[in-house]
Amino acid sequence: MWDEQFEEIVRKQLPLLDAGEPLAADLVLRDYGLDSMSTVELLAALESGYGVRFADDAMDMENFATPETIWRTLGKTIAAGS
Amino acid sequence: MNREAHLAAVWQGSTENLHGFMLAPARFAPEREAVVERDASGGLTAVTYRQLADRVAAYADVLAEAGLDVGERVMIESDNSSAAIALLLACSTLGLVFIPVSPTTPERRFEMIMGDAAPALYAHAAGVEREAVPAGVGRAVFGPDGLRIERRPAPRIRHRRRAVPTDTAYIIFTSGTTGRPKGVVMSHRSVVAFYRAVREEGLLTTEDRVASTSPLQFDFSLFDMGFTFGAGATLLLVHRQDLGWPRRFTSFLREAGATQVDGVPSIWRPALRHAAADLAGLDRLRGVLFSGEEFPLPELRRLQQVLPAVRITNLYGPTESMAISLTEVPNPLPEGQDRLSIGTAYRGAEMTIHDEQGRPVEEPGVVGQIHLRAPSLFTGYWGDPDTTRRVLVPDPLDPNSGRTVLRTGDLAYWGPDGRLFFVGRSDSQVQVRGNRVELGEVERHLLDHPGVSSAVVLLLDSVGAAAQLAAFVVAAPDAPAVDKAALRTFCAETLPPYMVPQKIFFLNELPLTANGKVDRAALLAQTTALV
Repeated sequence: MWDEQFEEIVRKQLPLLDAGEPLAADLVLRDYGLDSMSTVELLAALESGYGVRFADDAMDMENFATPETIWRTLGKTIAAGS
Repeated sequence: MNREAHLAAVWQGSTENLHGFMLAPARFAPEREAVVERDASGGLTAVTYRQLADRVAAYADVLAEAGLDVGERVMIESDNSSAAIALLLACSTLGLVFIPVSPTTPERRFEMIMGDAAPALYAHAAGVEREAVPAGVGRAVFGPDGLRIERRPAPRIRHRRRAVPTDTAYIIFTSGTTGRPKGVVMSHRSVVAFYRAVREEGLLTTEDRVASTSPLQFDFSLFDMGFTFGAGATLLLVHRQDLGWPRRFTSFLREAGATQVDGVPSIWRPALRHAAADLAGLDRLRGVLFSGEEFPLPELRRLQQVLPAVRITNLYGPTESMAISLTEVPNPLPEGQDRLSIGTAYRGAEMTIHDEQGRPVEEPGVVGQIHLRAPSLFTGYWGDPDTTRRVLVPDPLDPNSGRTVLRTGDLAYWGPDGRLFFVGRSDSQVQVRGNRVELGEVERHLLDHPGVSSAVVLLLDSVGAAAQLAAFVVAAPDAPAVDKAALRTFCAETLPPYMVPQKIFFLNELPLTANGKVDRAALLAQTTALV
């Protein structure tokens, strides 16, 4: 499971997820309002929040489909940088 | 040579048509690069003008076997690619009408366009495919390896032998108020007249490398082709996957050696926010051209700061004329200037503005509706003479001649120096990331949901952020409750991504004005409280 910072960063880009609803690992983020523009914002927030830089091939809509796929991609990015 | 072959050769040798105009460089500079694109391995591949012309000829040979008549339609489903360009030019050589459709088009919308346009052939890029192609419509697949007919169209009797410049070159489907997409029918003569006028502006040299960022079904991509090929320059196709990510976008531009980038204003926002240093490092870049919507001025100023040596051009005008004017943005934009000029119409065309009674407006600062006289006007809306008559109207200054002008629906006023300034629309049409959206079309789709009793859609425009569509919805009292995500998904099944509301608000009732209309201003004011 992810940390609080991650939850906050992801939720911020989901205008259609009400505050009371849980952020499920397999939530299809596109359905909750994540579009290409806000995906870039999400990427930037993750990069500055975790002090990492995503590789070119990690920047792919498939990696940003659900909280789970993003968390996994972030994990790989952190591992690659350490 | 038989009669038919002779007539075909005359059409093919002419430049009074799309393919003749675009492929002219194949005669005087065949080895120059026409198109550069990413290949399957991720590297860049160039196609020369000679190779492009050869591919057009090869595609046309296969297409000719389908036995279609002049004016029949070919729906092309593809991202922009050298193969797609070759196919649309092959259609042009045979007098066939192409209808570009994006692979991201939702199924139901695709079916509506297919049903309305009644194409003879559906051609898809290799790797992109639809099930919903009616029997009787032919199928073909195309790619760098060629064009292959998968299913022949139903046999037909041909009545035409000779394509002429007033024949239709293409149809672009855009948002329509009735809840169905509206097809803008463009002739060869009109589009070539426009391309020639653009070439006269002299914005490009043969050395230029023009990055094109618009999808194939948006006529901005067709503009890019005519703009670039008309100058004998090189077209760089930016793939969706590169465009969406600022660092990938800037690396593509660097790698491909872009000297010019064309696109809607919103393509710059992510790069300005998150990759400004990479942008600033693009030292070969000398031109940016934007269209489709107004450029938010804080972002435009920022772009000028990051790329101070770059000339920025505002391309204004509707799909019904491909465009109307190209206006250079002052660099730097003077402090205090809060609106960009749309200048004057291209050479050979004229804009006037008129009040609601059709009287011309001459006084600077007074708003009127733009009317356009031009050789590039569209033919009509596909299968919709009533809507066509509302837009192609008798010239209010010359009503007896029978000549029609384009009533654009765009409002503008004259500046003190005789240049026009755009201020908005006379109807509820808005632009989202450069795409035309009729708010009424989105509202109709929301009302199709059983859980919705009324709906209003507005464009939320806030400083420094992307313009967003917001839906205000009153739930139907007797229906099961619907949540925001389900409603969004419902819209996305029918509407293209740019028409799907990004924000949804549930209200108990819609605020009304004194005369009983929905009070849109009050709704807008409420959003600040709701957000």
